[in-house]
Amino acid sequence: MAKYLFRRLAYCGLVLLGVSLIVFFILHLAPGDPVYLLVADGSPDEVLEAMRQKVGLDKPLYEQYWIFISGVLKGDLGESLFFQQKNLKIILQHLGPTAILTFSAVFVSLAISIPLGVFAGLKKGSMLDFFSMFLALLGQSMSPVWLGILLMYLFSIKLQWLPPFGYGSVKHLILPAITLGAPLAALITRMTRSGMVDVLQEDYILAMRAKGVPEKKINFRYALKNVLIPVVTIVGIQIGTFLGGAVVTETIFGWPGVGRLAVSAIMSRDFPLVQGIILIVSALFVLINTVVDILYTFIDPRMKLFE
Amino acid sequence: MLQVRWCKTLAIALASIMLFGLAATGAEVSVTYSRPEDIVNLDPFDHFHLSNWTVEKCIYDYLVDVERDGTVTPKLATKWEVSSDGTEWTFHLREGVKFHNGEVFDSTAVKVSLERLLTEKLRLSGLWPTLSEIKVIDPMTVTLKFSAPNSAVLSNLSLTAMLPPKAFQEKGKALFEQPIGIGPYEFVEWLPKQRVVMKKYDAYWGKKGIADKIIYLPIFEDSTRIAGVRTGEIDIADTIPADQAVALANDPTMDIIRDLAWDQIFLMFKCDKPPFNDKRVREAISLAIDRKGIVEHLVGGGLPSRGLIPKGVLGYSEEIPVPVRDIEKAKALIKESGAQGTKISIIAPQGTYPKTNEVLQAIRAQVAETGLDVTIQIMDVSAFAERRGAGNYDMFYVGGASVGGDVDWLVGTRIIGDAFKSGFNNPEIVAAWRKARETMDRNDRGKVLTEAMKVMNKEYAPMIFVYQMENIYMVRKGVDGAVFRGDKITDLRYVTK
Repeated sequence: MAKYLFRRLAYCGLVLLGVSLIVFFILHLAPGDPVYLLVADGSPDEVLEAMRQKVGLDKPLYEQYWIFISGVLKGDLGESLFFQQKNLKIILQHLGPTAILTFSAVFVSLAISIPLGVFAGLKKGSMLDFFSMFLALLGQSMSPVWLGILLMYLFSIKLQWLPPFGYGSVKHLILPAITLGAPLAALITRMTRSGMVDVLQEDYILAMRAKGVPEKKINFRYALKNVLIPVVTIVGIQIGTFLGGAVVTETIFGWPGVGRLAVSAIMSRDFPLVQGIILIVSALFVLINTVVDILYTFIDPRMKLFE
Repeated sequence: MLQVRWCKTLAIALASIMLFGLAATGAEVSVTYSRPEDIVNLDPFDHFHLSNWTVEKCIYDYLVDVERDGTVTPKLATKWEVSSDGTEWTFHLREGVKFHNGEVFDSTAVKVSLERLLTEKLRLSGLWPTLSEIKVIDPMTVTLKFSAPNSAVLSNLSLTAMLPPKAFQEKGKALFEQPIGIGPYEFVEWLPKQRVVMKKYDAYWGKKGIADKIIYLPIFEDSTRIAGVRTGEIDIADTIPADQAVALANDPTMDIIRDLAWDQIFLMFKCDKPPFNDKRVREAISLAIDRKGIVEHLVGGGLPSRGLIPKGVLGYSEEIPVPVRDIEKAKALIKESGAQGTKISIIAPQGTYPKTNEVLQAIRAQVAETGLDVTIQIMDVSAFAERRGAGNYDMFYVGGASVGGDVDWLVGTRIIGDAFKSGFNNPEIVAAWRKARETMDRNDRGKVLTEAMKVMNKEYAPMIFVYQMENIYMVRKGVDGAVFRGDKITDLRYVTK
């Protein structure tokens, strides 16, 4: 196990290095110089040049990259051009809310979709099945923009049950979590349902019935485990995606998350901050995928981590 | 058994949440103001940002205040004199004023604060290019020396905060992690992209604030902000899109307030190369644009522009007519100058101004009628700022605000300083605006400014103005005391609920 983990870590390092290089060069090659946004509109050239020197943008590209990477190895992600604070501090401040939103959305999704999908699969062709598939279709078709604003209109303005935006209590979390989780819930419901249907047709299920194993045990202990494998993969990837930027949901509900931070940093060409965010989010993504891979071995003993 | 325990825990949890909620409401009055942008930092000298000034207006005091209508009122300075050549301004300071940390306000505070403009490379230094020295005469008198006369000193002072000298000298920039002000409200906290909280300062020397707390909330999404006002989470919201304002006009829980901005959309020409080095081509473009139509049918609010100075700012005059569209004359001018078929592009920043797309489409169609081949390039703000700053454009479309209620900074950077490298070469225009800068008397200055506008309009260079924008605010009924200004530096000091 230790050797495996060590190898995975090495791969992670390579991936992160590659990602940071690509992002660095894309950012710098794109048109748009942040210096113009750091000084008062219409400042003379000397002021622009002075600012460029102050933030280190006058150095050659490879030197700027080297400064960034050597900082990272020491644990310093640099300083944001616009916030004039350490990037790590800014990112962590925003990562907390994003993590809360992500895990709530995933939790809400799974809490609804897995039971729904399982029962739809078990009672294929019934009203429940039809109803679940209809809901799944709705969930996948509605864009988060529309869904979010619709929920806000209904629950905040008309019914006044929940606050329309903000961060700070469970009440604030409900609408964004539903908005973010809806498409995922739809997808998982469908996957779980079709997985259930497929698995129940397998020979070993028939064999277990013949042996006299109770139906409930077959469904929930044996069949479900097999259905969950692709679900775990998808959820793992989705968590990574959500952590990187549920931008739309965060913008609509005023949720102070990393997605919104990343977009505004990119728009203003805040190079150090963008690089810091991408690095951290990629690291999280890679970490989560590693965890998912390890999780597999508990669900499916046939899968071994290493040969 | 488990179920009973569960219920009990749930009941206790619910009860405590309710009690906590009740306790928190109390009798404290808090007014929330929302705008689609956050403050950029907590250093009042290192920004050029309207949101910062809006928040700082409550926390800091300035030597003078400039009211909505342009009159200057004494604040931390009680009176002042200008030398005959306009290069020395002497201010007499108010006695008995203390900063929030107890430090006394005196000429040392003025010196320490303003010297930052000279010694540090800060964004606000752009307002003060000619400041050369700050001399302490005595604890209540200070003289500012300039390398050239500048009549905009007072409006610039209304934007330059006074810092507590000892605290700044001790902590330096670290002071701005927990800023210490001198105004009717104290800084409590700033959670970036979430909120700024200020609380009433009971020991304020002047007219005390009324609301216990003022909260500044940056909400970027328009519909979210509007929803906030409707549910009561926000008391005042600004930057309401015109079409939404129409829909909300009949809502009994709020008022929609329309206020002319001291900000106009203009088109600047690259004047040192064809085709815009030819005045006839510039004039043709100005004649082709239907300003009135754009205001009435596309934007839904505001005024067509007469020239550089917007309504509400010193120097505006209705003697200057709004240019009327005359497409025949425009066509004739293009023909005469031989510019037919010339390819030109107009660049613009995305998302900064309302209806940018629609207005530019209209302008494109109208200008194309003259025989020019026009393309529009809308790009994101930083790419736009780069091209504009490098002079890499034929024409660009952008807004120009008169921050502080004076055109001085606008003129100084874009015309006298030609910061956007338009390459225009007209000494008469520059001289006319320079003269305005050097005229100290306010009335005379107004007339000189109007003259300068006329001179510039005749040349159509380096820019022509399209329309003056409107700011639309949503205010919940029962909320009073906010003073809206054309430069969007809202005065929240005396809001009540």
